[in-house]
Amino acid sequence: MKFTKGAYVLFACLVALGACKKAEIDPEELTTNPFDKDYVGEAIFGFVSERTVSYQIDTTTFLKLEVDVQVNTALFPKPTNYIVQYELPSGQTLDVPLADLQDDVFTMTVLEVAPGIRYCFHPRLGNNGSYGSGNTICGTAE
Amino acid sequence: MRSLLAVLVVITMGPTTFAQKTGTLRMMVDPAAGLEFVVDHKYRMQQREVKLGEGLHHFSLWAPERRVVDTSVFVIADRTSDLVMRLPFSEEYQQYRKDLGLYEDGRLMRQLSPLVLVGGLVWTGLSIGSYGKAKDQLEDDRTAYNESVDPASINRLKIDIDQHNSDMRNARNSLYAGTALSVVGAGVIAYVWHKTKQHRKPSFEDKEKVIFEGLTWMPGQLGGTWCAGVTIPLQR
Repeated sequence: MKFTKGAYVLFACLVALGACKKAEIDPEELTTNPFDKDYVGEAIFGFVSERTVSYQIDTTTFLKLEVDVQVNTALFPKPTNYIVQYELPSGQTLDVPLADLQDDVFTMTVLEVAPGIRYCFHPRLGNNGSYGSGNTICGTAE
Repeated sequence: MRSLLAVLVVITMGPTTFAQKTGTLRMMVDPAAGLEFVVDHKYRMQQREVKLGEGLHHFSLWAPERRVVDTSVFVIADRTSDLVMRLPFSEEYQQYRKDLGLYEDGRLMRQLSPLVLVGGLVWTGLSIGSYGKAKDQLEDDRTAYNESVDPASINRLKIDIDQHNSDMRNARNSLYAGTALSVVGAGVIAYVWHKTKQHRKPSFEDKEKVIFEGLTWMPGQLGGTWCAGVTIPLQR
């Protein structure tokens, strides 16, 4: 009888000890924060509208594509200031001026576009001088 | 005629010729403490030196915890001789020492065996503390991740989490080891107590003393008395 009780106690201890492993965190499973470069989830940046605008340099007329993007601040862990940087189709990166982020909508522009061509941007969310995740937004020049 | 002459010579020479000459015998016996001996089955003595008449004398020597040893010594007149001897331990005493050793070992084990359990419990307690801290740290890390709005901090946090996971693993392994030691300690206690619960402190009955204290002659001022020794173990 004593042996049986001891076996139950030992089994309970082993179960309790076995449960200890669950407390560990797998860093690769941490993907829910939009400020994390490994973020996986709902898109942070949403397409709002696009337009193709002509502009002139000297006597030559060019077209530029402007894409308006909405920042999904509802995904933020808490209300905060943020910065945005986006990558042009050429690979060049541009910072969005803070003044343009007051209403959580900003515009990405690519110059010298050709009508009918689809151009993709990759904006990234950042804060305190470093950048995390983002998603790709595309627009088509007219 | 010759016989008559011899008798006359003996009578005229008197006591000077027949006064017994003595020799001295020094008792160089190990152990010196508590040594007693009986000379010629009559005289029980304890002194270090004895004067005895010339000739062969029988000695029964004894000391506490030792065996009674019988020997004969030839005492030479006007000379001091040494009786060098080491009394062997009695069988009862050797058995007593053996039993006492077992008893002491058992008692020591009974006293020490809880230390294994205490050590295991202390180790387990410390490990639980470390484990709790490591767990709290990881909880803090998870909260920090969920609340952070700084990409650089999140990168650093993920590196820290690797270290904190390592701390957690170490704490958990330490907890396993502490728990195992506690279980072993409990097992050792149960085993030792089970094995030693019948142990009683042995008592030494010096049977050789009883033998030695048998009827002997005790020299005294009035000539001496016959005496008999009886040993009563009062500690029982």
